[in-house]
Amino acid sequence: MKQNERDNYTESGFTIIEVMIALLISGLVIAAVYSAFRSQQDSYLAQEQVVEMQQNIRAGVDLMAREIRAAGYDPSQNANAGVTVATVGQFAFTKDDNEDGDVLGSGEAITFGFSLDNDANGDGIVDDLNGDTIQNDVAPLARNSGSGFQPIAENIQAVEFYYILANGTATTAPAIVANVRSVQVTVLARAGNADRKFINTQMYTTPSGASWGPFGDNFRRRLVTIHVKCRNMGL
Amino acid sequence: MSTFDTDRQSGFTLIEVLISIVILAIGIFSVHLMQLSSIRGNHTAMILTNEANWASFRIEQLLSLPYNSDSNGRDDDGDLAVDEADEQFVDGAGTNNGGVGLNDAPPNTDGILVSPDGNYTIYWNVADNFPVANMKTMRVFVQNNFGTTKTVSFTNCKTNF
Repeated sequence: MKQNERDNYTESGFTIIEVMIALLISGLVIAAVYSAFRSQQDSYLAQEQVVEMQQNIRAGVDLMAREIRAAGYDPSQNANAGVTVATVGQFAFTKDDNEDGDVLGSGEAITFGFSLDNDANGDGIVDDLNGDTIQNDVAPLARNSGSGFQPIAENIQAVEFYYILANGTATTAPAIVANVRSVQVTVLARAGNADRKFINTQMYTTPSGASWGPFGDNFRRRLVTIHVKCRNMGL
Repeated sequence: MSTFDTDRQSGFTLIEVLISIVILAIGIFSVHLMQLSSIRGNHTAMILTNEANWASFRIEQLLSLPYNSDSNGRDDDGDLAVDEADEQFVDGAGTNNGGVGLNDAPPNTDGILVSPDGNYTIYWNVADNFPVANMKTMRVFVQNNFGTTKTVSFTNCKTNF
């Protein structure tokens, strides 16, 4: 071989073998990075739903507890404040916040629960709103202080009001609402979006013994129960 | 001069490439661990929220019982008997009475319950005439069964009036 032909081989460059090996290795690395990204994206989306659900339920329950605790506040004893409606799905009460002897002021007559549009039969479980014959729909849990139901927590599937009466018995449907002394509020929140990798097989049991689920769908859920003693009832 | 003058070719050796891949893998792995720790954070937040809920649930239940519920208990669960531990608001069931018994742990507590889902253990101690006469102090603890040691404790008082 002549000298100048040999010199061609000393020119730096990649052989096809080197390029293919490099492609293979970088392909493996990119595949690993992508699958790591996918799994983290999935878990990010799921966790975002979980956080939203936990925040919703915590804020909504806290707001209800504060107001229910004051039900029947009536320092003048002329306002006749107290519980007005006590069903499994709705709880209404009055309180004389501005101490003027009536319960006509703003925020003095309050109803908690779902609006009639979302829960027509009043059982505390949101009706099949999207008409897919599966009753796993959600609606805002709402507060009505006279001007219609305003949302206090989004994506709530069910609520239960369980009443402890003056004689110590507990019921979801008290015969005489003035006997209500404490309320156990149970709220079931559902994630806004389904997670196809998750199947909800959990059974949610309320204080009254009612069971919600297992739903067998792809939604995550959270259940919270609080016990609120109405400080101003039965004084 | 040889045909392939390997000394003069600049490039990566296989060892270098492998080391860089290992370093990259460690980086990706640590990002993954951050994700796991954020999930764990959410889970712990849920546990703490639920523990605080159960603690306040129990405090409110104890508050709604009559002051002397050992003799005049109330039938919260509607079984027409004041027999369950959760229907009694009494100092003396546990080991230590009074203020020194407020921090008693199971099985020496004045009362103990498990949440309906079985995930939380709620126990409480009552101190009669503490810190002053005609006053009961109650301290409620909630533990979880998820394997984290985070415990919530609430203290409250009830007067006899």
